[in-house]
Amino acid sequence: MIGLHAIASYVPEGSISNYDRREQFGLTDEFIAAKLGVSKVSRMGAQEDTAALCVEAFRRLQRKRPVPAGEVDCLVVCTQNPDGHGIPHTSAVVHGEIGASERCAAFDVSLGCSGYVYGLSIALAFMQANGLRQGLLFTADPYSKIVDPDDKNTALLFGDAATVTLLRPDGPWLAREFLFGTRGKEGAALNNRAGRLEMNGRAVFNFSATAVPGQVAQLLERAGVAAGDVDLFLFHQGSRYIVDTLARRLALPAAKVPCNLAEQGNTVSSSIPLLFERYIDDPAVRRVLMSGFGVGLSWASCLLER
Amino acid sequence: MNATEKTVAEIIEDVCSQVRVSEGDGDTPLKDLGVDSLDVAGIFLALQEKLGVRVPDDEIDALNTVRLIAAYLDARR
Repeated sequence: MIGLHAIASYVPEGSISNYDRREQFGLTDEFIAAKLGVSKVSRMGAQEDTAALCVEAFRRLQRKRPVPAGEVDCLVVCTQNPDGHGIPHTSAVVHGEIGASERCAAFDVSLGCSGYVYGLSIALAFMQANGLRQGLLFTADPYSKIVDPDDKNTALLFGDAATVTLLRPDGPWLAREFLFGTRGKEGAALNNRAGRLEMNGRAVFNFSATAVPGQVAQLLERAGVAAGDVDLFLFHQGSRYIVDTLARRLALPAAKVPCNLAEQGNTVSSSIPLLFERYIDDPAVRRVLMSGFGVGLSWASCLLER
Repeated sequence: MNATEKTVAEIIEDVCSQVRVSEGDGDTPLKDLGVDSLDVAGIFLALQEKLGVRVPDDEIDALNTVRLIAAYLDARR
């Protein structure tokens, strides 16, 4: 079985402080801290693009778990903001930059906040089906490319980041169950209109607060696992308010629902791996439930165990 | 407060753990009670789930007191 072996991430040093925008958007410190949960949103540099973020995440993985690029046989990038206009695909750009071999499969997955959970299922199944042994699942969706800095609904939330997850046969974390959902009729609630991100916050909130708890409960039931036997619930870090709402609606103790938005904001498909990176080597954490939700509208949950 | 107003007040307190709505707060603007824009989304979702009335986006801003919300809901149930 292929499992998750390690995660590395890159959050660019550039950022915009939400505390510097209190006057522009009529914010209080309490609202920033307790509701948004985002002190600042990370911003990639002028010379960086999506693939460059992935390459830097890969460099950081090398420091944790050296991976000869020539031995990588599967490279997946989850993004909806690719380099240039998407041709060539960003995974091919990353492939070239890190010097992977010509026998390495490389493809992009177009999904937003549900992308990491989908990406795990796709990459693990693809590797299993084709006898591949060393895979890299990247997430990088720098929304700074499409966020209007004067749009209160989005400018205070979305930050840039990239992550890479190393998948291989000795990876201790195994995926046990997946569930997926799509509500395409309501997809306009979060869309890119001519290069500008638009979000109907209320519609996205209502969707998240109702669809996710149902899927989480269904996943636990299918797996025959009680919520109390899950060490951590790693929800997509949309905002502090939605994470708290999901914990309340699922009656989960706050200690089991970590939140790490403060230093970079909502990083779309990178938010769950960015959070899991903190715990993946923690021996006290043996079972986690992940749930990503957003653009689509799409949601996906999975149970990982070691 | 009438029965619907009490229900609205209970939901506000349930959704916003830091907010308390007293008997005399029927006409107090929600903002003055400590309800912010994100709380409003949570309150109207909870009301929809409990009372079965969905308030359209363009009507929410005008419903900014417990009494106004209750009257709106009573008129549509």
